Amino acid sequence: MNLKASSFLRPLKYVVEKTGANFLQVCHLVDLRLLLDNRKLNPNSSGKNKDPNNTLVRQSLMFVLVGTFLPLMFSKSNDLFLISFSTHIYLMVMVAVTMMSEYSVSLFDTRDNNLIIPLPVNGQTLGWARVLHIMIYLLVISFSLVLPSLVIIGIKFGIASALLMFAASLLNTVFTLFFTIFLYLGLMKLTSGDKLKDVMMYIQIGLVIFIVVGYQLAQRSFVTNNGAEVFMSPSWRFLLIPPAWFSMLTTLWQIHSTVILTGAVIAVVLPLLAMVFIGKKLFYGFENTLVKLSAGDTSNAKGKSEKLQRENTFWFRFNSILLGVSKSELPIFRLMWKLVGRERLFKQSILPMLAYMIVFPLFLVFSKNATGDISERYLTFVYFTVMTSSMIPSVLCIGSNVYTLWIYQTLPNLKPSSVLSNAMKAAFARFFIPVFILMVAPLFYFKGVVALADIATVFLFNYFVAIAILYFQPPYFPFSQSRATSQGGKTVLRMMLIVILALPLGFLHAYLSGKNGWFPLVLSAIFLLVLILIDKKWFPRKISWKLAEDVNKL
Amino acid sequence: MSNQPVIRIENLKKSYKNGTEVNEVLKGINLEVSPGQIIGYIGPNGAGKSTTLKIICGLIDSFKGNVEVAGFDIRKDPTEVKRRIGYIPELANLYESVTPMEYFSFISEMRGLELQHALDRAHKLLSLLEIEANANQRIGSFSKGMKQKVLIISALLHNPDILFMDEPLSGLDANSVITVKEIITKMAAEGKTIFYSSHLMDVVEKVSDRIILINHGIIVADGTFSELKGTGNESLEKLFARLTGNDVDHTFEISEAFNN
Repeated sequence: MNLKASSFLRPLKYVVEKTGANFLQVCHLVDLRLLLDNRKLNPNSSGKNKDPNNTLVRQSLMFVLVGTFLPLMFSKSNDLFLISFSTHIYLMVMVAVTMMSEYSVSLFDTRDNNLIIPLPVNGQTLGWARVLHIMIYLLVISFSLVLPSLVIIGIKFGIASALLMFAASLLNTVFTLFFTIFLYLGLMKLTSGDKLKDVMMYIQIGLVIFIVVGYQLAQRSFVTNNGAEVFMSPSWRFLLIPPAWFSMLTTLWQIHSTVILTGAVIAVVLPLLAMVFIGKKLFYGFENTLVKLSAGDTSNAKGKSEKLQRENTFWFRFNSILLGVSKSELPIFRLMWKLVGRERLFKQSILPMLAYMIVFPLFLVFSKNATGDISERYLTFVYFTVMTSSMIPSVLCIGSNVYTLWIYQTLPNLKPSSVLSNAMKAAFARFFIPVFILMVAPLFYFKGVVALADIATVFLFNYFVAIAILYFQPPYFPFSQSRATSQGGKTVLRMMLIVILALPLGFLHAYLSGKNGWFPLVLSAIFLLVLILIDKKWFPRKISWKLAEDVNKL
Repeated sequence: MSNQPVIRIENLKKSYKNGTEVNEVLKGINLEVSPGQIIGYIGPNGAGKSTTLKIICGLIDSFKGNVEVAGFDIRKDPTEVKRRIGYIPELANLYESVTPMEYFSFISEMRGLELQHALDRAHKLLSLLEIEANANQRIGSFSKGMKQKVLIISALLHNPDILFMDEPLSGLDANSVITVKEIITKMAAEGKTIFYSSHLMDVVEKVSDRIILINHGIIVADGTFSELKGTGNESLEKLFARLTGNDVDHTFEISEAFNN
């Protein structure tokens, strides 16, 4: 984005200054952050510098693609409230989850503290600069997500409704962003220092689960399905659920009632009030918050000694064998085992995914509309674990340990692929496998011993997907990359591709299982063969120190 | 002790491309270092010191010319070179969530050292550098100087034949500077080669038995301190300024800058 922040942030000047921030400084800081985003190299294509604007365009296109599913789901419905409610609830979930998983790090980034804090910039200015930088990206994402719905609404219900939907989407994004920030900053008033980051991490996981569950429940509780048509009847109780306010604003042109008008007023006023309140009250002293967080980064275990433990438990040894760690790789596997358990940013990313892994698919399995045998449905549910395993390679890169590559480069007889694949294996062993075992245990109840064939197949499929993604992604070293603002959209696309890949394999698995319970082992053998080839042959050949150096350079 | 050079560099060139622009960092370095020598590798910022060290240690593999360390070509036998050298980088990029002992344990295992022996050595060095009390605390809580000490110890764990140090004393307190100087001198007395770059001219002047000055990617001076200063009575700092073309008086410009 080569725009000057002062030009497109001008409409917010009054609100920003009203809270005590210096608008000009806010614009300069936003410009600086956008410039830094622009300067980020795209390490694909052998380290060639690509235009990051293309990344944002690509990312937006992905969200347009994701957003297309929404109007398709309700293509038969003629209820604008239902369509907009679903879109707004979806938008809210996406914005909150994206904010928490990808942009909260940007809000509390302490790396430039030494440069910014000594400058005469007050907390409100710093807070606004951070939030507006994030808001720019979230608005682009939101617009991309709702674009297909806007087109459908425009065609079905007229331009006025489409315009109202557009405005409501912007307000929804602003509201959700500020609500999330309110939770974060409110929390900071209660706790501080080293504990803060841990508390934030667990609150974040809790929020993600709450939002996903809430999303499912809200839709189930308020939608009426009379067989012939699916519709919603907005009443006063709808005012208790935030997405309904924005749906009411969207339907303001169509439905004329006091409830709709009240909801529409709330939809306009609340985001503005949230901005002023947060800007005035919670951004006050934001610079001190950043200093505290910075202290939290480094005060880690200050004064607290940790006994040198050479990890060699049964679980460690079992996993090293299961995941094919060779004897010469054991020291790296051991180091990575420790690191995956300690790196906060990594845990902050992986734990919500594990929560999704359990919570999200349960709705499909135990849905009242679901059909088919429970054991088959449960198998489908277990296949959803691939959404988490497919994310492990990319979240492994997240961390603040920049340019640790040199440590490995100076060691004799070590290949860069060894570091990357063992980090993945350690993360798999410490996070994925325990949850996977918990999840597949009921299969024994449904199918008996023969479930072993299913479990082995699904597990090897997961492992195969993770290794394959690791093979194709740029060789970022573990825990070395900031959660780049330009990476967001790839996550969604990858998940979609994985689902597309998993579907036929799942069907093939079910088909083989139907013939004979042990037949899925044929699939296991294929996965095993391919993943051994990738892990031991192709991957070491692909990743040279030169490539690793190019991708990981400071 | 063999008189064969332990480091042999022939016509070393390195350039970086930035779009259409080519920045030639090293323009043909020729160098031979004998065992037991302490080399002070000095030069202004951006002269190419760190790049030379990184190439010799196998951290940069695209360059022109030949580099041999301990008789092994760094391109053909990087593993053999890495077995024999220790490297202390300029920036202490370490995993913040591990403790020094955990880090040393990893390095020792990767180098195939007998673990207990290596860790005993680590303890002794930690004690020498006065950070033994922090041996089991996470590196994230360390100051810059403490991290630097961890780097120094990790490079010494396998008792390397050749030690490469890129600004090894930056951030160290006065006592630790003395200790590191003593370690350097002792290692050289045992026939080990020390090759270090530094901006601390007084240390270079006192410790090195050969000083190599690099400027704009070429060697502009090479010899003992007394050879370099000739009959004059210049300090190394003055000599450095003169040879790098910075021996003009800046008093006026400084005063102008502040007045404006």
